[in-house]
Amino acid sequence: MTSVTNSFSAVRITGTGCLCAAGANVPEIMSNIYSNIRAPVISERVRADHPELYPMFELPASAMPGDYYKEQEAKRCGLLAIAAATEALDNAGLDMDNLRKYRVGVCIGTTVGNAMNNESFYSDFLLDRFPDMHPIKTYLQANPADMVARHFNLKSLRQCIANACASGTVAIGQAAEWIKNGICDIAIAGGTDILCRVIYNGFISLKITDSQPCRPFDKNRQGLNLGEGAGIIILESDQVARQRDAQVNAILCGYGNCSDAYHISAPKRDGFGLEMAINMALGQAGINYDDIAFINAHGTATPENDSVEGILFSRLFSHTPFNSTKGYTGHTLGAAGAIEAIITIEELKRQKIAASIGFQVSDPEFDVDPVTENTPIHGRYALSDSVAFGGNNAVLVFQQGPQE
Amino acid sequence: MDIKQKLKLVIIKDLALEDVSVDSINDDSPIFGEGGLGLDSLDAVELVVILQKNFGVQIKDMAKGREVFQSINTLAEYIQKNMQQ
Amino acid sequence: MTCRMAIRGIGLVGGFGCGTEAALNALRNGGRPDDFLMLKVPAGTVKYPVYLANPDPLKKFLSPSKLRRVNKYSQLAALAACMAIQDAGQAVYQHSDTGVIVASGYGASTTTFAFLEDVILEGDNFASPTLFSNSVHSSAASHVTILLQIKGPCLTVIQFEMSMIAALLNAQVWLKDKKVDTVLLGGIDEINQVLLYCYYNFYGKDIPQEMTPLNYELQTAIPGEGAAFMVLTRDEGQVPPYGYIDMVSWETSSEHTIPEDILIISGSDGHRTCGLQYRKLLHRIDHNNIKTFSQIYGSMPCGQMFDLALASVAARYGLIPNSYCSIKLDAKGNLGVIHHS
Repeated sequence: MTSVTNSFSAVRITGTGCLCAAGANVPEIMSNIYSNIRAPVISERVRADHPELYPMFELPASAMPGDYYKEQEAKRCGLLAIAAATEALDNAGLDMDNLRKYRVGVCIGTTVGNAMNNESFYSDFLLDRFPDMHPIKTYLQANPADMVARHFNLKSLRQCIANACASGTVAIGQAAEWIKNGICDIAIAGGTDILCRVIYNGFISLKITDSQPCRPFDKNRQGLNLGEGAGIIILESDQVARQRDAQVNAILCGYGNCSDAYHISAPKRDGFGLEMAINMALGQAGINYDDIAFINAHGTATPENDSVEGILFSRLFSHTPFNSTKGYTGHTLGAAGAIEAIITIEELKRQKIAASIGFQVSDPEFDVDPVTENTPIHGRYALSDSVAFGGNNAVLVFQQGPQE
Repeated sequence: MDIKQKLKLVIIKDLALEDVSVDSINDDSPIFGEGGLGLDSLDAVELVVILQKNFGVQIKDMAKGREVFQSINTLAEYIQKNMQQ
Repeated sequence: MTCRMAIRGIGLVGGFGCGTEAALNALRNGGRPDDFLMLKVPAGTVKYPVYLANPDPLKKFLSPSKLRRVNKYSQLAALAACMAIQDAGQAVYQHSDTGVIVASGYGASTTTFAFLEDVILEGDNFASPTLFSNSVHSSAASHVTILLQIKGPCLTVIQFEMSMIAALLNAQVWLKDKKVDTVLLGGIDEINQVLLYCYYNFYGKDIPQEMTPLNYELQTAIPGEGAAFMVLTRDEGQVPPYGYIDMVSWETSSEHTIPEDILIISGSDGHRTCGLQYRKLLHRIDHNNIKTFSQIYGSMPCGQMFDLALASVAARYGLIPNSYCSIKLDAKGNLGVIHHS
């Protein structure tokens, strides 16, 4: 393997913003997850015709941005990203005026946000009803990275990352690499995704959804619950953060991205790709497995995914507390890596991780269990990993920010 | 056309097994895994949809699937028992 | 930040055929749409000239049984990737020192539509899990890593006409940081009936039979599909056969670094709205110093990858100078600029 980056000049995280089923903003989300509350629902909005109904983690009405239902569905991923970015920029002490002084890049992960899956348009098209072009025009304006850039009047580079379930993690890691290499001074990075029929039907067809609230790492887990939301973090170089005298929520000190090269929908059982990505991230951070105070696992609650992580953690992190927060948020696909990064950052700040809700019975296939109650942790580093369809594995390592 | 014949045809067509002929599929042999037709977990869930589409039978979960998908014979038996009239 | 990137190999497939030979032929003799597709419209059917890409040659590299669940989007990518690696003269990578970056404007939309079709015509319960797994835009990058057994980092960028600039900036960063030693980078886009339907509705009944991208006031865009991949490394070791990418930059039409004294490879591809922007942007450049290649491969959002690939092939074989600048505009005033030497 190629030698790891000589030095990954740590990138500062100066703001976070998030909305999902667990809450309309970061403080609310953290309050709810530390209260071990979750509320998956049978959706009224997203309905399909299957013998069973599958609960999902929907955004509560209180979390929806003002114009959410006014706009076409295609724009909703962008709207959520804008809402999360607004909270994050505010948290970072940046408004549109001071943003103008910097080169600001935008890097957003999504799956639904770039999909042309307007069912009613395609249905009309297929059935020779010759639909009008409005949905297409909307789609062309709905790229979430473009929408964020337009909203904040940004002229610099932007990109949407489509790395399936690892998109949010990869978007953050990639944006950090931009900062480190001076491509931009500040980056607005994260992920966004919404619930919709296409995704619901798709995951049910794969037979990896649970008709009960999901049970990550539990012996009797049956599959995932889908979720929706957005998470955005503001990244800056140390130099810019100092110049602005910005508060530092955490430091992103390691990022790994590796491929299983195995299967289009199943993870590689030996976790080889995930292990490589973990090693890459730890190598960049200059730390060992033991230095990791806790892990936010991908933990989708599918039999396959949790086996891979459980077996790997048993070998590499046998004493490291970990949780899956998908028990609180559902699997938010392109947003997952970003939402989980933010939860990790907040838990690191508070030196406490939330109980891994949904877990009750140990799986004898592996030797570790997630934490069953809110657990104090002691240490400066935390790790969050994502394992995507198609075999992409992405890992972020965070260091606690300077203590006030 | 009998069930087993139809089954082999739809499996070959819908799973895009271009280099497999109907005659080469033994009714009793395993169809999953290395020794069989080389089908995997994704083919298994696709087979669930194939069965629904072509024979109107449901497979509730993959535990049931593993039982039923052993061979053409076990599949045909399941279809026979559960086909909607 | 600059990291000069060496272009070690090129693979491409499109309406002109497959491989650098076919590309060179088209560069020498001109390109034209190679096929037609019929589109149903209220008044009947219309015939659209198109630049279609054929992924069949992939079967020379990989056994057909490995391709049975691989959508055309991914097959085109894998074909161009295999050809790029072969062209670079290197063995298929088994290590983690190669990264894969795929960029696309419309991604796997054709597969998304196929997935929707089953649901619409048969019902929710008949959704195909295979089509669903392939309908994510990351499917091409995933299939490339699986088929070519590449275990390094992997990225898919979806940013319409700016996809290639973003992808190349990521590649520069990966190489400069020594995250990898090689980046296999490519662009892919596909044609489908919905795309043709959009052309019909946006651009009218006057269907162009030939692309003339430098006639900026005319709407002559003809849809194209295909994939173009490159093997990129740091500027180390042997002189690369296809020269260097010296600079990649995300600019705007109002603030840019387009040089006035070297050949400009313009990304204009027959769309009138952008055409007028290109004309404005390039009005000070001697028109003898402006070339387009889009008439060889058709109009597609990832077109800048084809421009770069074709220009690099052309430069290698002395059809154009080694020094050139490739530019690509989108409808929103964003501009991608690539300097090559």
